[in-house]
Amino acid sequence: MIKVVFLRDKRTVEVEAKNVSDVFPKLSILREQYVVIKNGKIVCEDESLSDGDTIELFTVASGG
Amino acid sequence: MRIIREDQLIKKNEKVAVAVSGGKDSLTLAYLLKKLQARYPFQMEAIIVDEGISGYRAHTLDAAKSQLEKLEIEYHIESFKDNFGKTLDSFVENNKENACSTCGILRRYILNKKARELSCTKLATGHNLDDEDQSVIMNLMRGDVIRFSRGQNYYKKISDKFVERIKPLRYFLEKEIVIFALNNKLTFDSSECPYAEYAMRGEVGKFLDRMEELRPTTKYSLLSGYDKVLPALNQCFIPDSIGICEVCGEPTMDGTCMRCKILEKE
Repeated sequence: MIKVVFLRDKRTVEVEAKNVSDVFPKLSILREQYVVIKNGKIVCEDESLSDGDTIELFTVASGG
Repeated sequence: MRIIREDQLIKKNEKVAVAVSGGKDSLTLAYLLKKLQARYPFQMEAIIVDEGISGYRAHTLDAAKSQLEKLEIEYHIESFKDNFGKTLDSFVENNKENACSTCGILRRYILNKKARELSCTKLATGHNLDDEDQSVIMNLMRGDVIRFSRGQNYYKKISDKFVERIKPLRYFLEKEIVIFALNNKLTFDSSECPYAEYAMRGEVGKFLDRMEELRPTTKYSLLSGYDKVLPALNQCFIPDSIGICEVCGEPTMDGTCMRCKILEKE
């Protein structure tokens, strides 16, 4: 399982995924709306994920 | 920066006011303009508007001040309270649905007036591609042809009292700007304004995000197509000159400007 942390509201969920692009449809979220961070670095959608990995989602929209 | 050079958004030795909110867009713009200043001569000062939004503005102001100080950019803070006697929270206490339009009108008034007082000949804002696309759709949905026809990088010069606005980041996706700001370790606030939930903009933004996912490059194509028809729209719908407000003397399309109409109601 992959641990996914939504940085804005500190919510955490778990999901099965082989790479970053798998995560978006499984959580019913849009890739345009998040920047994905793994081990402190921004990663692309083809980044592979392994069981036990944690990724953080930084919400793109902010301000007014 | 190619956009600034090729479109001549900033001319040599010009004085530019940068509107800074404390978010990633305006602070990325300030950061890039500072970089540009090292190899292209122009002056720059920042204007921060404190609208008076409790639980939100204080930390965005801190981010703005902190990053501008790191960049060694002089800044000026102008508040709704000092300019109009009330905070935005007080203005929209019983009418939160109107928060964004009230805020926009009053903020643009302050930015224009302060930029003029500082003898700036350009006012740079951090509008990104998503902002621009949302405005195109929103103005069309409202049937507001005047606003729909004036969305270009420069507003047509229709009054000496308007400081020309430039939007150097309007071809960059909001997501690209977030990535740039994070990679360059800029100090910025990433929270959302508490009034954003009442705005039509958010819904239009979600629609465009879905379209971009289904058909990548939709956002860029929309703005690019819009820019192509703008000269014709400009010619049809934007007057060559406008009048001045009979109350405050600022430029307006009507007899009384929107700012004065808002203040009149209070």
